[in-house]
Amino acid sequence: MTRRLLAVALTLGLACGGAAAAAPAQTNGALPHGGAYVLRPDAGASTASLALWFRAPSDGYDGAAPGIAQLAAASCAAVRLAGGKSLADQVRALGGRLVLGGEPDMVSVDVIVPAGSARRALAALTSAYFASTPDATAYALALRDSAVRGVERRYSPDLAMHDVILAQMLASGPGHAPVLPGTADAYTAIPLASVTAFAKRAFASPNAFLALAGAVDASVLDAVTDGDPNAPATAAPIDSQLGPAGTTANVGAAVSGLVYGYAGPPIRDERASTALDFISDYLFDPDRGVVSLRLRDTAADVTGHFLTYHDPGLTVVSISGGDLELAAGQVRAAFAAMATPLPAGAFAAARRAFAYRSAHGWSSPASLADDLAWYAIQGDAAYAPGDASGTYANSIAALDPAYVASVARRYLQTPTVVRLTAEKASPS
Amino acid sequence: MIAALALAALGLAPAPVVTRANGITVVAQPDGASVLAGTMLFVRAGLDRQSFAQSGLAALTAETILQTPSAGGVPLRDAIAAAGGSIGYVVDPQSVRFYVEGLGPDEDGLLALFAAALRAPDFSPATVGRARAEVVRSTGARGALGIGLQMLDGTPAGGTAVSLAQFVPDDVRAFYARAYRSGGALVSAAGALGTVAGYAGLAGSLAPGSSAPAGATVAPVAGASHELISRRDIDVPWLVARYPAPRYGSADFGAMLVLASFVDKTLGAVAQLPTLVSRTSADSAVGSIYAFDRPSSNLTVYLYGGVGDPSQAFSTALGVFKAVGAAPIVGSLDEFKAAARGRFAGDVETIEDRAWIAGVFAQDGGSPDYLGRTFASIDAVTPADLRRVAHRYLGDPTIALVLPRQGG
Repeated sequence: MTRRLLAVALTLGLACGGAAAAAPAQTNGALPHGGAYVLRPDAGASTASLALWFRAPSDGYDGAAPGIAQLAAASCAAVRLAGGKSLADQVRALGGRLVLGGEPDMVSVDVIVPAGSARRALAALTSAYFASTPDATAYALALRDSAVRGVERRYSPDLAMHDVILAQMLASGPGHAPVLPGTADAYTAIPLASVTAFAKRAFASPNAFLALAGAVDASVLDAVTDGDPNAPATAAPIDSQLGPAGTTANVGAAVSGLVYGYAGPPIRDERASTALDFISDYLFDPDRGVVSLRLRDTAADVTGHFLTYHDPGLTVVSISGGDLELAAGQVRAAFAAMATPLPAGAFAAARRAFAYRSAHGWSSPASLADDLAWYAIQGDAAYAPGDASGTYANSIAALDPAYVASVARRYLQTPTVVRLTAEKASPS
Repeated sequence: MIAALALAALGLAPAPVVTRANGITVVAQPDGASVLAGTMLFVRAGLDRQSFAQSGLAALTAETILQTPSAGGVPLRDAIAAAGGSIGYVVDPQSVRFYVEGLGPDEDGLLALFAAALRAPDFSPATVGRARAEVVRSTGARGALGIGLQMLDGTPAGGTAVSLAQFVPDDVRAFYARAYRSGGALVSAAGALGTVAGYAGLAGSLAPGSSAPAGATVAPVAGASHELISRRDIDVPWLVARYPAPRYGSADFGAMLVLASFVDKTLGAVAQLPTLVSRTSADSAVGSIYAFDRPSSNLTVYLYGGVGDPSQAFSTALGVFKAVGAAPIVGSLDEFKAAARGRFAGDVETIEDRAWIAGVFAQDGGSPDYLGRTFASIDAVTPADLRRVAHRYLGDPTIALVLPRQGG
């Protein structure tokens, strides 16, 4: 059953730099049985991107089943729907892509289809998550896919380091466990009944945020499946709890590397969060970042990001390849230098470059939908860099050298450090 | 107007607008939903303008433009970054493509910086020296797949450190003077173009006239079961195979896009990729690249040893491709067509992608309506087309093996 949605149309201005830019059309509204959506049509787009994201703990509501959220998401994607096809089948038949992902506090389901196919994709997507129950067949398919994805994640340096630094920094909560465990045993230990119960609770409409971008228009919202009208109300953002700062650890892993983590502000401190985004861009942009340029003739690969979680945000810097200590020295020196305000001219150029690169980061339908969904799930939808309100662009414009330096002094001086040492693969 | 309405009814983007004057083509795709504007300039100064002895000169000349000091004395690339944008280039077989992108209100300023350097590059030893170092650095940064692709390409687009070392500033100046002409140039702009005017006259920064290719080109090595082997300091082997393929606009283009989807699915099956979700981190381990925008178009397939010993799986997949020419494909033609539409649409999602593909389709006087033309050509494919095109192109590929160094 579908119904026409009550849309709250917002006409918002976007402030970019000094000159006025046309505001992208954006519509925000409520889903029929709770949850929310945002619609960002782009008549010039070749694809439609549908991001259906949920607040849900990756290790289950009792914190005892790492991987259950991803296993449940995969199971729902594999359930045969009314037409006889699963969501995965339907997306494939439309020539689209289905991407499952997640963080400790959320599950992301992204469907990207060619222009002209959004309506059918959205019907299948919402039917799979709002109104289906995983069965044994779907569960078996999901076990295999989740295990493969988990192993892939173990061998991805950035993702493996992301998981270990969160586990080291966060003493409790879902962030302490990997989102996608790297062994098949972790998934087979979770019974179908647990997966079904988790899916019913986590993937209810009131728990959802739907971002539609690209080749879409308001008419496709009629295709949303209502789901359970009695599902519980929208959950609050799910936080993990910090442990002591400044600890170090050595762990065996599938890949080698060195990762630094720094606890940051909650998302509601938009000014500090934006300053940390600016610092990450200034130092670690792959092409123009200060640290990236210093290390570009070495074999070291360094990435750095501020992760805008609800509370706390985290700055994570991952180093792999080459001389890890040499690269780590550059990272520490760069953070130390940021404690002193940049000269005004250099700061102005860096801020302008950051404003552009920030916009570039959500310039495709898929990246825009993900951007809007991430910030909504973290509890501050209007602060999304791609949101038409221009809140984030205004926050960039308000940065000044002294404030950025003060944020660096407050949040970037005491790292938690984890060294990963590659272990020999076992015969199994 | 009628065509635009028809595209809208299909849910497709309106076709780009094209104008042609004085040998210059300008394509525009205004998009009010974008905050970015991007401008791509195609100049007939690509690989075919350099002789064999000039390997890397086209790239060195393009990079010299990006290293030319702007007002304030900083190289153009840095000046554009500081002004809130980005600039890059790609050297193609026939063209070099520059791309300038920024927030819509900033784009004209960025284009003015680019136009100044394009009009009067600095060929001083210092600037050419910086450019040479940058080209050497970028050509050195290749993974195993890049090595395999280069083995099949034959001539590295950026040359080598040795070939680049031979060029003096006068060589770069002479190449620029000969090849950087407005004849055959194309500008393709997309995104927030509402207040942008600079793209329309960008090619006017080039001297009038046109250049000719620099003599004989080497026919691609294809279709004859050649096997090229290189050993490098890598952990696992990479297998790369290349088939000749039709260029966009060919009557075989739609069928080849559908076959490329079949190839992708077959590779995924032999590599035992996840079946529910689309590829994520496995993306780089297996796949195909259909380069349809060049005279010697090709389809390259690759498999990475990270998914196990790849040789048997790869051999199986190549055998399946060859068999398509003689027997119907296994699977739904409609599904492969849908996958082909999705794959093509997914490759043209960003402003830069849109500027590139509209420019490609507008070359040689064609319509820049890339989505409408491509989707129509895919929809028209029949099973007989698939067999005919597979028989014609998917025979014996040229294979490049990038293997771990022995004893390493």
